[in-house]
Amino acid sequence: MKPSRIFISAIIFLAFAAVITAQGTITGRVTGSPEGRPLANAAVIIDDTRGVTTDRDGRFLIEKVPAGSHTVEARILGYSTRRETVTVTDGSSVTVSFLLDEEYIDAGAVVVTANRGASRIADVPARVTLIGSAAIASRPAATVDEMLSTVPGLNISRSFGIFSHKSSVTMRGLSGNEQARVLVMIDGVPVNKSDGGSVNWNLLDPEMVERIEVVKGPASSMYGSNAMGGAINVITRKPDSGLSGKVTAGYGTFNTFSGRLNLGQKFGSDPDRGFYYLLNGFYRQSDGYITQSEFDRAANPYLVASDMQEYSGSLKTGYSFRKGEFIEADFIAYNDRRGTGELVWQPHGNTTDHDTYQVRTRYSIERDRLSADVSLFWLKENYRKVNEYMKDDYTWYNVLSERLDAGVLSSVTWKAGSRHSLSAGTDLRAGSVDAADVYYTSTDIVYNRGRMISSGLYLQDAFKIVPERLTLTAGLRYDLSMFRDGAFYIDAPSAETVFMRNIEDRDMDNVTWGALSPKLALNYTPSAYARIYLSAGRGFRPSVLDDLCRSGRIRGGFKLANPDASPEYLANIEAGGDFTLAGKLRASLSAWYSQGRDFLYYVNTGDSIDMGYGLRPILVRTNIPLVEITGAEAELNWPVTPTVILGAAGSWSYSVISEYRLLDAGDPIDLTGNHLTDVPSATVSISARWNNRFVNAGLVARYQGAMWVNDQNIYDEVVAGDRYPAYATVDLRLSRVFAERVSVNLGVQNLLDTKFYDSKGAVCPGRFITLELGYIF
Amino acid sequence: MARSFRALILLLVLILTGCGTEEPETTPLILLKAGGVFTADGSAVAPGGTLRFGLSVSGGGGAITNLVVRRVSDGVTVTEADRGMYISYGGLDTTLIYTRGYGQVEKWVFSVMNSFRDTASVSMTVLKGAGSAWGEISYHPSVRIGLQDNSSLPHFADLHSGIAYDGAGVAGHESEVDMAAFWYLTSGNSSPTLTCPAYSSALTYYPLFGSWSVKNQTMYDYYTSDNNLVTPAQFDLAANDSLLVNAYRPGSVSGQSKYAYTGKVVPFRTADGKYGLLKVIHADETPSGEMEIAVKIQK
Repeated sequence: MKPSRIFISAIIFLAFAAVITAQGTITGRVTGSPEGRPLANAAVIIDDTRGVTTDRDGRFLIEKVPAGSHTVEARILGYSTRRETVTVTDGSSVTVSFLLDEEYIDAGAVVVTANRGASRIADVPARVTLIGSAAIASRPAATVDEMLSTVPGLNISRSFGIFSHKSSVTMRGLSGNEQARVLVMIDGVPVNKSDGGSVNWNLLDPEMVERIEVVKGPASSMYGSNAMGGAINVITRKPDSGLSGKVTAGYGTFNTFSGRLNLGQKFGSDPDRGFYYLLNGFYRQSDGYITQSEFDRAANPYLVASDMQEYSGSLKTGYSFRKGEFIEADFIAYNDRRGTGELVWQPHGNTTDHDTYQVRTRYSIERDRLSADVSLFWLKENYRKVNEYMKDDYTWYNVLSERLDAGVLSSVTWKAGSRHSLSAGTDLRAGSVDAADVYYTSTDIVYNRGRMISSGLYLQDAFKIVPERLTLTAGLRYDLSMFRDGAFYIDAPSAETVFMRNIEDRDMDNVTWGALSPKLALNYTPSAYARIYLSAGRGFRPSVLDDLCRSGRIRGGFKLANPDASPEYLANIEAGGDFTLAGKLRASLSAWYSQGRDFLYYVNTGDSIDMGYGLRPILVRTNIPLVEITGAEAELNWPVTPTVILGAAGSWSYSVISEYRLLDAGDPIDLTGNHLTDVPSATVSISARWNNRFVNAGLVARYQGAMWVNDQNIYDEVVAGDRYPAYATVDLRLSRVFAERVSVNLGVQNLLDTKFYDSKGAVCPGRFITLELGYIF
Repeated sequence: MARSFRALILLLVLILTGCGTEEPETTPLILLKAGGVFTADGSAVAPGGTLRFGLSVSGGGGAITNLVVRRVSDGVTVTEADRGMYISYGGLDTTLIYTRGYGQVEKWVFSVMNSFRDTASVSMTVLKGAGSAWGEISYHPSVRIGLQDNSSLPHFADLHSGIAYDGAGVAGHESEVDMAAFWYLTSGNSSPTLTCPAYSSALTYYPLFGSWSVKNQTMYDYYTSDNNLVTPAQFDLAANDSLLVNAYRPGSVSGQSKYAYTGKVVPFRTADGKYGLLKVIHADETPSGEMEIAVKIQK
């Protein structure tokens, strides 16, 4: 071999060796939008060949990366995957960071509400909507229920924003002011009260919410009464790594102040094992505004702004034994005082006040083919409403109500073989109300009380007729509801209440109702781009205690207790599908038809009563033989880019009384053919999210169609028409995190300052702007 | 770390446990004034005669919130007044004027309640005097007032004198105004309506009331009016105040009286305790219309 050749070979070898041994490192951090929370256990993969996972701060380090150009990919379930190209030189360290967007809609996402156990949305033969944390973070919502504003088919009644002392979320063409037909849960535990079926939507600080699952259509075969219209499950956050927290202070329209502290910690380095806690404190107050109509403002010299003050504290703590098995307990305490806009003599005037305490414990296990869940809950609400007004003379009375609900819920799911998924469970709930209207300007005390005890047993089988293609789900639930110890009576009646003397009942009959709630559904997945479902089911609900055992003044007249009201039933058939169209454009369509039998509804009896200031109509919650509801909804989601996501949704419903039974031979009012009240004929929403390095922006535009005002569908003097007019609103939220520590959040609700009114002619707050500053640690 | 955790737990406990204050319970006190113009316990007053009761009430630490006056006669109890109020300082000092009825013995019971719902009562007996003392009445055969949008007729009526004042002329006479009227739709029904300066929603139609330092409260008996318990013919025949006093049912009165249609007779009681009857001679059913009434009132 010639020396020159040897030399050349050596040079080539050394050069090649230098190239193949030239190495650097790649470091960085993976965070999730929009606030840049570190994502632990995210996979970071280089050139699709090797990878590492992030630590609890979301940081990663890849060593011995050959010099050259490489593709680095970060991915974690529930977030969009992102890729970056980096160039590594010998001995260098390249830093690359990923801000991942949570997947807006993911048919593969897992929900726990539909089947009382983990299920993929695509496998659930019903319309299920998941609102993830990124979507929540982009919504300009001041309360939890407002986060639902873009879900088609949902009707959110919150006329006064944060000043509303009562709000409700209903769905699918059911009357909008009756929360009792939609089951609301926090972490799987019902929060509808047995008294009125109502939910205190102010109870939970929105900051605590991790995600919300909405199951539309009768869910009674799983959950029993309250779920005949659907179910909403608000799932709260759970700390997943180390110590983290956030302190926030905010200021907004009407001199609104807020402050909150979130602190969470997960002990131990094993993400699937260890003790954790999450502590939350929240305070908000506002001077408010005058809600009353122009007419009332002119008539009443005692009007003041409807102000508000609320605070809450919660502690959630638990221990994870291993992946899929944990025990958890939480406690929520909440107090508010909301003015209703009139002050005569009392320190804060007319107010509502809730003192609410909730305790929940839960054990959950998921092992191979078996999963089980047991929850115990206790919910107590002390409600106080101060009523004072000056008419001929001064009247002052307080409504004092103690509402108690407790129960045990259990469910088991067993995957039998490769085709069956069997579920079963039992529920036991007891609720009571003990209330009194205590008058101070006269001698009267009006009492009402009652108890409702419910138990239920359900069974369900999801049978894969053709694996991955066709699934048949059959479920059946039996419920037993017992109304006990109902009473309505008056002590020392004066002219204020003496007119109720003849409807006193100190010992109402005990009543027991039983009902079967079946469900049958098919889910067909013809391809990875489509799925179709068809379902039929029936829901059941007995009357709430307030309708069974309380008589009293309500808007527009006098409500008569009706302990003889029968339960109502809602049968529903529904078809729908999800389709992935061009690119990632996803369309969801549903259409349904429901028949309400013995539908519980407020009707005018045609009689009147003198409540001390002239005759007023008597209303009663009674059973209507047949109500029919037809509706459809559509939703489009289009992730234009990983950082720009557009959505549009619309719903239409037609709710009509098809058959009406006169209350008695002399009943002059026939409601046959009339529309249900408080149901928007149509809703449309458009939403947009844009996350970029400068700002995260969320925009929601919403249109709500007209709604009928009263049962007779006739002209209402306050509303000045037979329907509440349609209206549209636009909400905006801008947020950014600076230096991974400081968060700035600007929320604008009702950007266009649209004015809309409630049944008393009271006006909404209009444009409402809040600015929040937070420090993340 | 542990310290901060304990501090947070303490903070949570402080947030969750509010401090309650227990208010002292006390009993109100009523004193019946005696002597002078006041009716004495055990005195005899002829039917139709004036009863004058002087009450001095203290709330006993709480605000006075309720005063009830009951007349028990021949085993029948009639609540003459059941008034809500809120008097937190200085107590209540008031004179109540009623008319002696036909019963052999009238027991008058005065009860008060305070903001703690503690109560107190006193009573006195008034015997039946000889003869009759039904009093004279004033009669105003035609009082014409405009409804709220009527710009040609005066709106504010003094039922004692039968004089009606317009917006300018009422200056200096506010304390004499007992009545005004307006028209509106209520529950879909057309309603010519009687009101008075003290009735809060009268401000809607007559904002001027808001600036008056004295706003009289006239109470109309809507039950008698709605059920036509006094006919126009009876009104025309009334020669003394017997019908005026006895037609008035204190259990169904308000400062506003709806459905004052042509031909209705409405018993009323003015702020100074005078009973009366008004007959609606004519009531238009438009906001710019007018109402013509005839009035009989105790002198």
